[in-house]
Order: sequence, then structure tokens, then C-alpha cells
Amino acid sequence: MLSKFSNSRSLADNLKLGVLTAFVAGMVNVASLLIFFAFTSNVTGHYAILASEIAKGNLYQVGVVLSWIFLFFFGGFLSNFIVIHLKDYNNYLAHSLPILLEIACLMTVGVYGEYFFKETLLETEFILALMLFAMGLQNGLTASISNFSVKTTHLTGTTTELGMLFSMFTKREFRNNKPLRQKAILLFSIMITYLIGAIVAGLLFTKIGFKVFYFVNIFLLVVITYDLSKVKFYRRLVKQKIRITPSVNNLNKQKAYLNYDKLGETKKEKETLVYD
Amino acid sequence: MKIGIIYVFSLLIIVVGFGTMMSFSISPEVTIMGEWKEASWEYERLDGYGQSLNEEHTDLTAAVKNLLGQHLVIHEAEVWNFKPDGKLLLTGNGEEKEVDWRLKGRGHILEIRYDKTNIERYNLSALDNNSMVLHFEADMQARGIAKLTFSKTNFN
Repeated sequence: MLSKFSNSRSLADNLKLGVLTAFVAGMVNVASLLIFFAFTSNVTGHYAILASEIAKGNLYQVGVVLSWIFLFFFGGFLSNFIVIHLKDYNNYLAHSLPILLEIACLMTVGVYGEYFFKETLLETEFILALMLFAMGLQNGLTASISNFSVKTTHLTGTTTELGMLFSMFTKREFRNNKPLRQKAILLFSIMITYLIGAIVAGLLFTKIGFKVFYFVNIFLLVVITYDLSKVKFYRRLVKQKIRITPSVNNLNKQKAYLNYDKLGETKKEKETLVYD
Repeated sequence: MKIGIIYVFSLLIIVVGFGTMMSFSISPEVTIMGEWKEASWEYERLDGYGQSLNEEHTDLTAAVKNLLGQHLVIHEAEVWNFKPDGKLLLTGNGEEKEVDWRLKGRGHILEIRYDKTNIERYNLSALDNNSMVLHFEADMQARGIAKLTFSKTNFN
């Protein structure tokens, strides 16, 4: 899900990543809307609000909304920065570090909200900023590693592309085009899981409040550990292969030893050959 | 190296610019503090097609207030006193009621809590040192958007 990059990713890789992260984005967005009355998984609305606050001359709100937009931008920047600068060192680390940062942000929101939140406006603004940063990280990562195929925190582009794809499917040549069908499946899955995540968050929030963010983090942990388990399995496989390879060599050496034995070599020479 | 310096410098400019802007602005949480007197209750618009109020009726504060606000905590209030400890003192008709207040979002939602279950939310449409405008969606007997206007009488 995370270990492959760009064009080497299959539909299954993108589907798993898209579905899980869209579910997370849906949950985060609705949780922020219910708790703080502001969206956090997209910034299109914030641009409209920014323009409206500038027109009203509300300097404070202009500053707040600008900082939210900037943090979403910075999340995307940092995510891609980590991916492109660390992928030569360790591909898995490069792709999982932004998710780890996102988990840290959302965990902070959950813990702070549950134990320390006094409901002041300043706290609300900071928490929203943290959530927007987390969503920027997620969006930057998924877009970066999937070559812009998977964008899960907002559905404007997804809905537009789906509309276009469905119009294309009115022609047989496009219906029979496998990559187009796969893209439609991916986008539709993202749309549906985002919606399901949003509904689940809406239902959960009334019961568990800020703990909803712990629930969100479980899904992000699945994203990380899914590939971690594969990485561990692969490493174990490689180690086993290494263990097998010398034993094969030893077998060859034993054969050589027997051949030497047949040729009447001295015992000392044979021992040297075996322990070599 | 050069590009790194440009990026760091740009980030510094953004942070300093943001800090400067915020230092010149006042949080709505501070501006709202003090005593506010209700100036008017108005129907700003109705949500049903073809429904309208005659112009002479639109500013009949008492009538609109009675129609829209009878189920609200703030119904009897004429003077609203926002205190720094998150308490709001509502005074009117010889009665006094203390409720909790919070600002949500970017300071555009005023939440008033009478108790754990009785929570009302108003859209804080305009707020400055002299006036405050609240909007709320009236969904009881009369559907539509109501507008409450206040003028500041005392700064805490």
C-alpha cells in the first residue's frame, strides 16, 4: 500500500490506500464540523471565507483563515518533501513518516480535546490548524506516491472526474478501456468510503466525543502496519535465502572434498577445504 | 543551498507577516466582552417560496421576538452581559438568567448553553466595538432566518 511508488503501483495498491485514507478524511472532516463548526479536510470553502472576511475587514479572521490554508499547504509540502528526499534512503520510511506525523497530530487533537480542552476560541483555532495540517500531510502523501491518482481529502476533483468518466462510458470504446474502468472504480470507492467515514464519525461523535480521533488513528495504523508486515516478511524471506545459500555452497564444497578424497589428497588439505 | 535559503527566508516572512497581522487584530472573544442591549429582532428572509412580510411588519421587534424566540433561552433577555469567565448574564422583564457562552469556528458561531441538553447556536454575522448582529435559523413555528441586532452599552 505504501511501499510502491508512482507508476509501479497497481489498482489494488491505490484502492487499499484510497479507501482507508478517504475513510479517515471523511471522519476527520465531520468530527471537526461537529465539534468546531469548520471543515478541515479541504480548503476550497476557506478560500471563499477568506475573501468574505477580507471584504468585511475582519483582520483577525483573515489571519486565522490564512494560517489554516497555509498549514494545509505546508502539510502537502512537508509530505512530498519527505517522500522525494528520503525515498532513496528508505522507501517505506519515506512513505510512512507523513502518516506517522498525521497520527501524532490527530492523537494530540484527541488527547487534548478529551483532557485539556477549555473551549476557548484560541484552542479551537489551534486544533483546527493541526487538523488541517494533518489533512494536508495525508493528501500530499497519497497524491505524491500514487502519481496524483489518489487524492482523498476532498471530493470536488473526484466528483468531476467521475462525472466525466461516466459520460465517456456512453461510448463503447471507452467502456472497453480497462485503465478508464479501473480509474472509475478507484474514484467511486474513494467517494463512497469518504461518505461512510463521515457518517460513522457523525454517529460515533455523539457517543464517544473526542475519542473519535483514536478510532481514526486505528485506520492510519492499518495503513502503516499493512506494509510493515510485508516488509518484515520480505526481510525474513531474504534472511532465510541467505541462510540457504551458504549451505548449498557447503554442499558443493563437500562434493569437492569427496573429489579431493578420491584423488588421494592429505587429510589436512581436506580439513582446510571444509572449513574454508 | 541557495534554494534552501530562499525557502527558509520565505517561511520566515510568512511567519513574521502573520504574527504582525495578528498583533494588530483583536480576537472576537475579547470584542464580545461587555454589556449589549437588544436593538431589534427582524425576519431577514423566509425560506418558503412566495412567503413575505409586509415592510411595516419586518421591524416589529416585539412581535417577531414573540413569534420566533418563545422557545429560546434568550427569549426574555433584553440585556446580554458577556463575562470573561465564560458566563453570560441575560437580563429582561425583571428576570435574570446565567448561562454559558463559547465562540466556535473562527469566531463566527456563538454557542449558548443553558444546561447540558439545552444548547443554542447563533451565527455571529457582524461584531465590532459598538454593534453585534446575530442570525439564527428559526425552525419552530415560523421557519426562516431571524436577525438580532445589539448595541454595546458597557465595556467590561
